[in-house]
Amino acid sequence: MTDKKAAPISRRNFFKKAGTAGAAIASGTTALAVASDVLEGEAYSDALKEYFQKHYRDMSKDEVKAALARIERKAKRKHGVDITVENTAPYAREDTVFGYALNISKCKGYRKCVYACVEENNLSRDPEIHYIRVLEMEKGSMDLEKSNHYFGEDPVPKAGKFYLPVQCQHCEDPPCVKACPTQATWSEPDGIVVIDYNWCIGCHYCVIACPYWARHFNWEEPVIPKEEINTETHYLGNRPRERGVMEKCTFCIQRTRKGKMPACLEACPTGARVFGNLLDPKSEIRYILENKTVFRLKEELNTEPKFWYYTD
Amino acid sequence: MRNSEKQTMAVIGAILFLGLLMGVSLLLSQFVVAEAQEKETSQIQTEDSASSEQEEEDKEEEEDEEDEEEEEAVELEPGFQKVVDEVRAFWKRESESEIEELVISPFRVPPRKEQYEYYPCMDCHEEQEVQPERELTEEHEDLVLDHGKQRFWCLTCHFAGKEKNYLRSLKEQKIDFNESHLLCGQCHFERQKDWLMGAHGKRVGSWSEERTILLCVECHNPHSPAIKPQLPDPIPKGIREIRMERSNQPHKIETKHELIKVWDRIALKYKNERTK
Ligand code: HEC
Ligand code: HEC
Ligand code: HEC
Ligand code: HEC
Repeated sequence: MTDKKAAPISRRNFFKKAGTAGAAIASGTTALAVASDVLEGEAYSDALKEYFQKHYRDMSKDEVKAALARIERKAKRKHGVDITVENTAPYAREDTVFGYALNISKCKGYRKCVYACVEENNLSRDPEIHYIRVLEMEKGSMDLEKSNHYFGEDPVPKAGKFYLPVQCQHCEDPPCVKACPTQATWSEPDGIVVIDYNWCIGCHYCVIACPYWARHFNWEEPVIPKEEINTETHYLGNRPRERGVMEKCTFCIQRTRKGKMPACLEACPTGARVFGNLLDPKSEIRYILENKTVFRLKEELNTEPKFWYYTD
Repeated sequence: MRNSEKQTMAVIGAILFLGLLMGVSLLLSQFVVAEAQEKETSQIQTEDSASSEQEEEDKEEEEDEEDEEEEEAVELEPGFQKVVDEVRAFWKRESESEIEELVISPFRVPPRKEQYEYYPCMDCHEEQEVQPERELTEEHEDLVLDHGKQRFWCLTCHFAGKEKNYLRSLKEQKIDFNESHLLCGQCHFERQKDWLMGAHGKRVGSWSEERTILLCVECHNPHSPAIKPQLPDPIPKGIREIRMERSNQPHKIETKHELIKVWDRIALKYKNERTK
């Protein structure tokens, strides 16, 4: 586990280095000299503090604030960009639980949502990570196994096909959360299933548990062109990730908690996507749930997705 | 609460009924428009008499419905409520062939007419003669009219001669270009209703505050409204995930929808959690 570039130390490989440093401290005076081979000054103390950082939900206000500042500094060192990492709490108005509805008779498979999501959420361009998979399905068939994810040589929509975008379904009873051995993933009060990237150990249990293929693993250090980095980020959302952690759709927590629409919805040219507060009886999503034929994926698994599909 | 529920019921009743009304007037317009473009006046008379009959029935129906109590009435946001009321008022208005102007809708739509190549229309149409032929050669010649199986002509939606700066309802009312949904709603009432409720079309900006609603014409060219196929964005390079390949579970979509109101359950759950 050697660092090719003199990249800042991640939580995991720091383990090793901290070990070395620890040994050095024990043996004498060269401790800091050894460590500062790799990191200096603030970078070193940041890495140390990051390593001992508490779980998101256990941190005090000040500790969170310090953590956010650390992430900002790290992004500056690593990517040379000034980002802001926020910690916007669940929507100020009481009783907000987010839900999503997608009209499959409107979706035409243009994939605009996929790439809007990539840009908004700072997804790795190479290797490629996409939170949304648009599946091309046979009309009349509901067999996901026979769907085609790699369509796109010809114009869409193609005759006899329909298109089914799949992303994190934000289950009410999320199997990924149950599977996680470190509690690095959980449901927030507004129903968004989130990950504390600092606590994820990359064990893949959640990937196996998720029936919707919604979790994505950073097999390698994510690569994003510097000028394309979205600098408005959220701790639980689109802040820069590192190799070895899971990530997934967060309903654009950095946007939606401020009252904005998710990026995939804004990008959709057909108006197939609808987002809103499930607990607000006057919301668009409630109108759809109450007046349209809706279904959810793999309902028999009782994961209770908060993501509905509908037709009209 | 009760009063507003009743009001809402009345509105919805009226909407549904107006849907029917539009259906009828659509049928009429299709006949009439096809046959009698030159006989514009007779067309209007036919429609007017047809719709005033409908309106009377409409009122009765509404009163009936006000007596009924129904729980699942959707209470509209004040903004939408107003639109629905207005749409209703608009279509109920007696039209004595005089041109009326409509109040601006109480939600934001991205303005349209400022973007047109040909606006203001009256720059040319002040003097322009009405073209009786179904062929345009001098101007607008690239405009393809492929809507409603060729049963209507420009003057179904645009005024002849003067007032070209406005769209024209089937009852000869003036509709601003920035409110063209009212035009479409005459014949596509079901869609318009969905649009008003947020189930068709698109709203951007905010899920919690005032929405910006895209007009029908942002997605449908009014002259040729079918949405044409286009190339999608790049094909994904490939997904390195253990799950996709090795899954042996059947991945069927379960279409059975639970009738229990999921959101009620969710609401309850969150309430319990919050009061803990
Ligand atoms: C550049 C001048 C010009 C402008 C601006 C213009 N038109 Fe025209 N328009 C014409 C001409 C010329 C014709 C006759 C075409 C022919 O006979 O081939 C015409 C014909 C029409 C017709 C056919 C029926 C009729 O009344 O003759 C319609 C409908 C029409 N225009 C609508 C519009 C609308 C709506 C606008 C504004 C958005 C507009 N035009 C702006 C020049 C113009
Ligand atoms: C189904 C109703 C309908 C019919 C029929 C119709 N139009 Fe239009 N037209 C519209 C609407 C609605 C708009 C506003 C479009 C927008 O906001 O983009 C419009 C816009 C226009 C414009 C301005 C748009 C621009 O991009 O410059 C012109 C010019 C025009 N129509 C001409 C015509 C002519 C000529 C005909 C007959 C061949 C015709 N229209 C038939 C509904 C109609
Ligand atoms: C005078 C009645 C009338 C008006 C006004 C009208 N339409 Fe239509 N529209 C029709 C008819 C009739 C059809 C054809 C339905 C069919 O083929 O089954 C149609 C078809 C359509 C279709 C389906 C096209 C397809 O082939 O898939 C769309 C979309 C549409 N209209 C949009 C609009 C929009 C947007 C407006 C407002 C600018 C509008 N219409 C105004 C009568 C109307
Ligand atoms: C955000 C884009 C968008 C807006 C805004 C929008 N539509 Fe559509 N509409 C679509 C798409 C996409 C389809 C599906 C077309 C298809 O299946 O080929 C559609 C289909 C339709 C159809 C064909 C019937 C059907 O459901 O397949 C009608 C009629 C129609 N729209 C009318 C309207 C009217 C009227 C409005 C405004 C009140 C409107 N649309 C606004 C995107 C839009």
